Amino acid sequence: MTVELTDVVIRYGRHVAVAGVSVTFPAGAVGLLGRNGAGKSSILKALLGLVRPASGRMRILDLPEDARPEEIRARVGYMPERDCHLPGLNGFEMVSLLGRLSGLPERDAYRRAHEVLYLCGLDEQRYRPVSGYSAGMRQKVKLASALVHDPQVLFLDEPTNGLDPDGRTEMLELVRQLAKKLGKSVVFSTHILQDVEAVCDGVVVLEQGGVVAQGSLAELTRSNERRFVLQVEPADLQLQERAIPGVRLKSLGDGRYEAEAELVVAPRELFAMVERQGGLVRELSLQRRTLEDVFLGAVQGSGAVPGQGAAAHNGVAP
Amino acid sequence: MTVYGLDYRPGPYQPTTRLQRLWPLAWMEFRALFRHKWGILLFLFCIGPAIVRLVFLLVWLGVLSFDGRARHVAHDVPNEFQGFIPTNVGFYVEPVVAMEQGAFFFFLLLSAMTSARAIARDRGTNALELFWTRGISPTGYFLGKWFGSFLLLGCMTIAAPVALWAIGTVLAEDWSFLTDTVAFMPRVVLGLTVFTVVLSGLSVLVSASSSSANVAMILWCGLLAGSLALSGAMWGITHDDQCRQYSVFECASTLARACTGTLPSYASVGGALAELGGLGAVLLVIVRRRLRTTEAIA
Repeated sequence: MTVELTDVVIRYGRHVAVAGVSVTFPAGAVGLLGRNGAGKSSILKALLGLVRPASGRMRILDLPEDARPEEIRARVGYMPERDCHLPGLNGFEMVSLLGRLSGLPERDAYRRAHEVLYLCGLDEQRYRPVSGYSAGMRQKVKLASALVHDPQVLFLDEPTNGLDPDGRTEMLELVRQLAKKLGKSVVFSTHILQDVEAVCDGVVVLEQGGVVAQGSLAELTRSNERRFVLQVEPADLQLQERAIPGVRLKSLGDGRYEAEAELVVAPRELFAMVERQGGLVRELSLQRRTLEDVFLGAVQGSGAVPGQGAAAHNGVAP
Repeated sequence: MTVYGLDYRPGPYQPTTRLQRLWPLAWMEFRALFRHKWGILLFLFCIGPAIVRLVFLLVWLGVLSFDGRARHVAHDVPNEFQGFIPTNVGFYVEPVVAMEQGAFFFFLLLSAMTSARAIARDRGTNALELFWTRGISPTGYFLGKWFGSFLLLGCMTIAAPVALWAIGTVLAEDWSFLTDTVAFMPRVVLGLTVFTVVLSGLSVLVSASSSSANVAMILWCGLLAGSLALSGAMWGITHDDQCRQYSVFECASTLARACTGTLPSYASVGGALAELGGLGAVLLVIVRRRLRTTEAIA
């Protein structure tokens, strides 16, 4: 356990931003998902000691619950979402200064600044003013700043914001390396579900200040149903919706059908069923349950999203 | 992408204290002006009065001799020019605090370009978010910025006069220069320190309460020049010398002169303290709202 919140309530005046959240962020990379206003930033603020929760308990690493905010911030790394830099400084000066402000002695800060800039792929540009960096380089220098004091826990707020596809791939690879090879605990706050799928082992989904789903990515995307998409000929063939027990068919038009089948149903039964009704299967593909399904299912409640019912038995807290 | 994972090593270290963390912040603020050639030129321009005084000093000491009688002439100067004699307090204090000698212009110029921009500039680049998610508090951040600004302005207001005195002491033919001046120099340093602390503090407060560096500069210039204009207008109407103290700069000068024992008869230390204290309190209330940590993360 690296970060643990128990019944945490955060209020801004009369507005309740976080309503009794209990969640544990284990070691490794965990995605913190939620729509705007779901409470992601409020939780990060509270964890960084910038906001005092109205009630509840928080534990970060081995720090006591009443640790000073400065002590907490010296032990965790934070990469902000917004574009931000220290005016007039180059990459090396910025990272080393922020390291010293986190409690690193001068010599260590200089050494570490060189190392993390190298790690983040900015070794060639470290003496250039940050104000002249591209968007991707600015994201990297922010990540280097978050890493400079060697924190065990990293809070990354939208780290792929504003990056082109190459830059996004680089950033995700870097975050993956941090979690997998360097053993950092990463809390990855984002709107982009594909980024979480690419990097994280676990997911916490927030909605209206509460946790609506949490667990490992493998658990959450596991389902007791499989979904197939069939392309049949002739295109105007009308398949019976309940031709096989345990299979629900839905027409998508132009001879395309979506079949939600229980795990015991083999694909060959679908072929046979189409043949019995006078047609041929030209294409059959298995659709995996994605994080998007999990997310939409969790934030919208039960409905038409495939596999969303599984959220309830995979650790959803209503 | 190349990930240089093998070069990243865990770095055990003994964390510095909260006070030690403020020094790099102050040092960065101090150095900010000297990072560009225009900043260096501005600084040299602003210590121009001290360079002029250095010429006076060298002439008075006889190091620079135009007619060989400089020091002899110095004994015969009228009272209005006693401030130009290096063995008088005014030689060190007046170039910094006296409105008539251009001190106001040089101080306004340097402070507007440095301390008045200190925090507002960080706000403009969202740097506050980076600072406040580190191991320092907003109060520590403010103090670091203030101290850095104090050091920078102090180069002009404290270090330059002290350097003049040190040069005079070293270049003098005998110990008489030292014996004539050593008694008042601690008071000079104290007075100039108070002057610099007060005005650098106010300018950093203005900076912290502003939304951008340009707004901060305009506000600071407006505060100093506006209060000066108000005091001048009031003096023009009433011809009461006490009206001069409506100027913020003059209030700080009054405190400096009080420390050095050269307070004019019309000046009121209590009035200056009340005005500066009131202004500082108002700015502090605004700054407490503007520097809230809850605003640190978008």
